Amino acid sequence: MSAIQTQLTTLLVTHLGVPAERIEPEITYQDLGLDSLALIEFTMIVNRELGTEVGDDQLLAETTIGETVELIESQGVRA
Amino acid sequence: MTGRAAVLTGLGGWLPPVRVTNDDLARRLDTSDEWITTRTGIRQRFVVPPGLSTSGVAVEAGARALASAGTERVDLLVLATSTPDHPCPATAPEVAGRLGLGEIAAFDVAAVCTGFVYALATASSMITAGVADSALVIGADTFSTILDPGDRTTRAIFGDGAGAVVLRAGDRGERGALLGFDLASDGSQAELITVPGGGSEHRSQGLADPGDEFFTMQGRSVFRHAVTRMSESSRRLAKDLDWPLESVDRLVAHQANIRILTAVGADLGLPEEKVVANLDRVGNTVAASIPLALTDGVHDGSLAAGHRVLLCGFGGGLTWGAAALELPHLSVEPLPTHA
Repeated sequence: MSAIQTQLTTLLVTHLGVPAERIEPEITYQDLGLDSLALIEFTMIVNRELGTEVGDDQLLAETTIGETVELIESQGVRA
Repeated sequence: MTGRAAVLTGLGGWLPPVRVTNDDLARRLDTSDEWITTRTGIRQRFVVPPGLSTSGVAVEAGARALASAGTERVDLLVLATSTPDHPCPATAPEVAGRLGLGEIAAFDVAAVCTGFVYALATASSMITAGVADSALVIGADTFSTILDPGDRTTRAIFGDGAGAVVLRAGDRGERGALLGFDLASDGSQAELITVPGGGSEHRSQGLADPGDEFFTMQGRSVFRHAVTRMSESSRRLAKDLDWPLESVDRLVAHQANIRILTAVGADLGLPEEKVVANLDRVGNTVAASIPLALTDGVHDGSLAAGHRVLLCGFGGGLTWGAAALELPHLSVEPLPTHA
């Protein structure tokens, strides 16, 4: 697991109550049970905690954890 | 600190008689009680019947606030609304006339969901400056009249209503004195919350697209801005007043969405019991939301005399702002339940 994925996992578990064992690169936010507002809440948390600039429409229901890791790494953030 | 200040002496609110539950909406639109409740925290809202408009709900709330203050006279009326009875003139003079307040100064303030905070700052400043000795500040909106009847999202969120406060000139050291304000706007984000048509911009272009008279909102971006801006404004005002955030007893924020309220509370480090919420019963009532939450909170005891209270709002414009006071003793009539 990449360091970024570990951080995302921690944020999803602590802030949104997602069970850690369900988080894997191929799973989508929809499969994790996050609705559209939860995705905005998560975007705000990620930007605050990781210093990223993820936009309001970048994390969607069909976005996977793996794609989120790539997005964050593309912004030059390394854990 | 001493000096002339506006002091809160009366509070009241009113809801129109047509109650719309989530199940009522689910019978007509593709939605459900579960969907609405989990995403908004709203279980019911009240809307105006045909023939009742913003002036009517404003008069009801204004009368209750005047009774709460034990007065029949004020020399200023400021009405916060973005659903005036007419594009021209303002609705406030009509409301003043129907309340029997005579030929007093009366005007509208348009700042959408931040309207009440803006109107409160305006009236408070006019009292502090000596332009007026007392004021009735009303937040009133009837958004049901500008919603797309087929839009399941906005119809689930918004309700109609009015809330009002009475201010009088007093001393800054008195309990109930309005101690400070923080106001701001960002016009570059105006399109996030808008009624596109019906104003001079479209009229001058000869535009009249079907549906452009309806209210629209970009929910995801609005959610983020609402949380960020209300938190930032509250924090800035508390700092100006040398109030450590942990010394704030209650936050009465614009009742937009329970998840926005929860996020603002979390951002400010305020526990859930300090964040006043009544939107489950009334929905998002726009300019009425803060005084309606105050009325409910005082009535049910969650707001009490001596509490350090921060009020904060966020709305179209974009606009946002905050106000601070130590709550005085207030006697309020409960909001009608129309059960």
